[in-house]
Amino acid sequence: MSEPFLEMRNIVKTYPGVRAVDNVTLSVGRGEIRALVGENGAGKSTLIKILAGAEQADAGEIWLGGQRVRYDSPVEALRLGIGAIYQEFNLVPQLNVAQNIMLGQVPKKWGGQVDTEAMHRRAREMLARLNVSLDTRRLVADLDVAQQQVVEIAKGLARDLRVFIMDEPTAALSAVETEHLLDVVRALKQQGVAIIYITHRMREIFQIADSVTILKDGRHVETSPARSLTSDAIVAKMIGRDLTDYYPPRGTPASEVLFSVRDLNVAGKLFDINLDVRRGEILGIAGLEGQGQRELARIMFGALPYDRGTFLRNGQPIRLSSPSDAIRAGIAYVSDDRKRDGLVLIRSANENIALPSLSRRTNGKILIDEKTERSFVHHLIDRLAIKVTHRSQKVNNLSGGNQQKIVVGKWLGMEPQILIVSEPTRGIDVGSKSEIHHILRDLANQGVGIVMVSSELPEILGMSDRILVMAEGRIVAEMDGATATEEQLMAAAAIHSVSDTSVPVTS
Amino acid sequence: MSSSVTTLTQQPFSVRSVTRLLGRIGPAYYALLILLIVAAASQERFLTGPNLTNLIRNSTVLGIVTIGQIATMLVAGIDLSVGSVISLTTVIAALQMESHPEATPGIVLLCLLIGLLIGAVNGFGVGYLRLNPLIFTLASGTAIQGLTLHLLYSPGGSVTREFRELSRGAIGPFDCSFCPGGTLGPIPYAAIYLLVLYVVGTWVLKRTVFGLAVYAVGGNEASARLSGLRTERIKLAVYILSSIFAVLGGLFLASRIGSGDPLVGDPYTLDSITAGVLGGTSLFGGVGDLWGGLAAVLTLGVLSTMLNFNNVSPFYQFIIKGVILIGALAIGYLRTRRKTV
Repeated sequence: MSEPFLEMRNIVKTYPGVRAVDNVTLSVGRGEIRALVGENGAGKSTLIKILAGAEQADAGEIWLGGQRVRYDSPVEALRLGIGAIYQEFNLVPQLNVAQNIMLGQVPKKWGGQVDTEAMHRRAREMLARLNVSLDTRRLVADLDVAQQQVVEIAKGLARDLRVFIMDEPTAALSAVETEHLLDVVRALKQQGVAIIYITHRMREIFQIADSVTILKDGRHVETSPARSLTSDAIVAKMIGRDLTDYYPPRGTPASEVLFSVRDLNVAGKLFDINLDVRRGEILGIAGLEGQGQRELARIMFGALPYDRGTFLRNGQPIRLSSPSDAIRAGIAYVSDDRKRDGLVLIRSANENIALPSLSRRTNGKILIDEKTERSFVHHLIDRLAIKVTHRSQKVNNLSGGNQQKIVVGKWLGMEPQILIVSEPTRGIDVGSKSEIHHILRDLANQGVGIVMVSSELPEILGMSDRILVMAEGRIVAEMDGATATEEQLMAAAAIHSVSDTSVPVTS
Repeated sequence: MSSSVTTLTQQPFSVRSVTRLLGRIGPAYYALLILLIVAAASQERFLTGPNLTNLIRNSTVLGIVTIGQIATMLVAGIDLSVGSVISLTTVIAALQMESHPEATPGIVLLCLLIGLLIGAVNGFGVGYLRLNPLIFTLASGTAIQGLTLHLLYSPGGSVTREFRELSRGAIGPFDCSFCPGGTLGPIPYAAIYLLVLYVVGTWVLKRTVFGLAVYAVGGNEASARLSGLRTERIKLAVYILSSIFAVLGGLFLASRIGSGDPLVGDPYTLDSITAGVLGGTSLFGGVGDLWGGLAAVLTLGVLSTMLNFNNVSPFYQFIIKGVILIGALAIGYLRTRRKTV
């Protein structure tokens, strides 16, 4: 392996109650792609935040090009050429795409003016490197998750970094976009950039990484060349046990229809959507990113307006013009953007879980019965195996996997009959992923009808009893979950997307 | 690639784009337009030169202070000390000019320096110490109010004759072939001050890197910091500007009333916040602009002129102002809610 360019020596970071990073040493050479893996809560995020200057280590040293460097802010880290793109997007929603990409290094004209033309040109160049065409004048608030991820990556590219940290850059991307990104990462490698790449996708590790560092519980487990490892070996070392069966066994759905969508149309987005959700089934909705799956999910929860269509609950037409209509009809929804829609980050795990079912358990009284609430929440936290140091711990401080469990948990309290989940395991580690899958299957076995929107094919194939494939706003195929194959799904999903190279991000 | 980008952005002209444009125009412009029509229709005297000049002069202090207030609101802050700074400025200007009339320019400079100092304290507390802006500026404002009353406990002092001209002067009238009567003006200095400050202020906010940083800090502070912006420094600058604008407002007010008054600035704190909110600036930061604020300032000015014409008691005017602020907040809430769901 090449000479170490970046070295982190004996890094320690402690938060109240948790030793997040425990004496970790890591060195990466120029032009080396280092995959950093570990379960959620293994200390990856903390480690890279320290490297990027967003957090300060309690102990340890950072060396760059043979020199000890000290910095205590992202500004100084950037000045040294160390930068990161984070998993939780750090974009300013009120600014446009170009302003976000160039924020912190906006090109100037006389009198401190923004050189708008140069700013947009440079932003477009960065997007072009990712093979994406996105109007740089659009507000970030109006972009979907995949588009925001692209902006975040472009922002990193615009900085000419020497050490480039990427925290799950592909979590929200489609297969095509992922390929482009991996090409960009390879190009950065050619330019001698040291890259630290965090991902939960094993395939990507073997596609691009030179070496792999595995963390567990804040400690360094192993660093090895990628070619000397196998996917199973990495998983086993990450979780410290073998994960034999990823997916729980399928159940036996009833034929009784709980919920139906009839002739749903949204101009330019969704066309003639018809579907039934049966008692006890997991209905997978597959497709490439941005084919209208997320919009469909939100409409079924009353969170987006639609032009035409009817909804039947147990055969009876119902109105779905707001989430509270949906909740009253026994429909719950787990968003694909848990930070924005799913959680009150600055409140405790406790309160988040209790939130949607508050009105049910106050029994019309004004005061919250704390005793009932506590026992109810404890029960759920145990059932979902959520790791909290204390139940009043703020959700902010929890790992992605635990946050996602809380989002699921908060809906279980209201005992929904229909649960709509959108990308339920995005950006969470294999251990939590498997736990979420088991929770979903348990619910189905108890008779809940589950609609699962996912762009991860293995998840769709492993979990669904029945699969609907969407392309360009239409349902283009229905398959049996037990017998469908990856090839059949891809063929169905791609059949309508004729122009495969024009990335769907343009929408 | 670039050709596909341009095709994406060229939106066809349609009814929908017109309604969207109308929806984007802040409530303050509609309120101003409606009030102007009502005022012009119900009061013959309203559309006369002297009355309009008076309206502008009465709106100038608020107009100036609102610029700074909007800047603090854009960084998700607020400045509750502006009223006290205005009062302090009138008192210092009047007392000093009475005893040293020859040093008027120096006294103006002194006031600006005091504003710089107060703004630096506010900006340090809010930006660097990360204290709550509401509490911090309330506290600093209270302390400044105390100091002001200590210097002068009841209205007094007097400014120089030349200094008075700053608020009372006008230029013109000019020949203007298409104006009624063939002349335009005279145009009060006050209108020129407002126009210059709002044009320059808008240029700074919309065109400069500093302005972009202000919107970024208010929009998502964590992101701005991680992007390498020195968020503390930007907040410091914004609070300094807010105090400086309060001083400028105070100087204009001193020129107008001709003396110092330790409590005269008090209403401008809430009024400037009302103007900001009514003008479409979000209290949560990152959203808003100055022109909406100016429209709101003039709206409040027209409203108060109308109420005065009709001899409505000042006490009722307070009630009306309170209702307007709540109404503006409600409109702002409804507008953002429609966007997100």
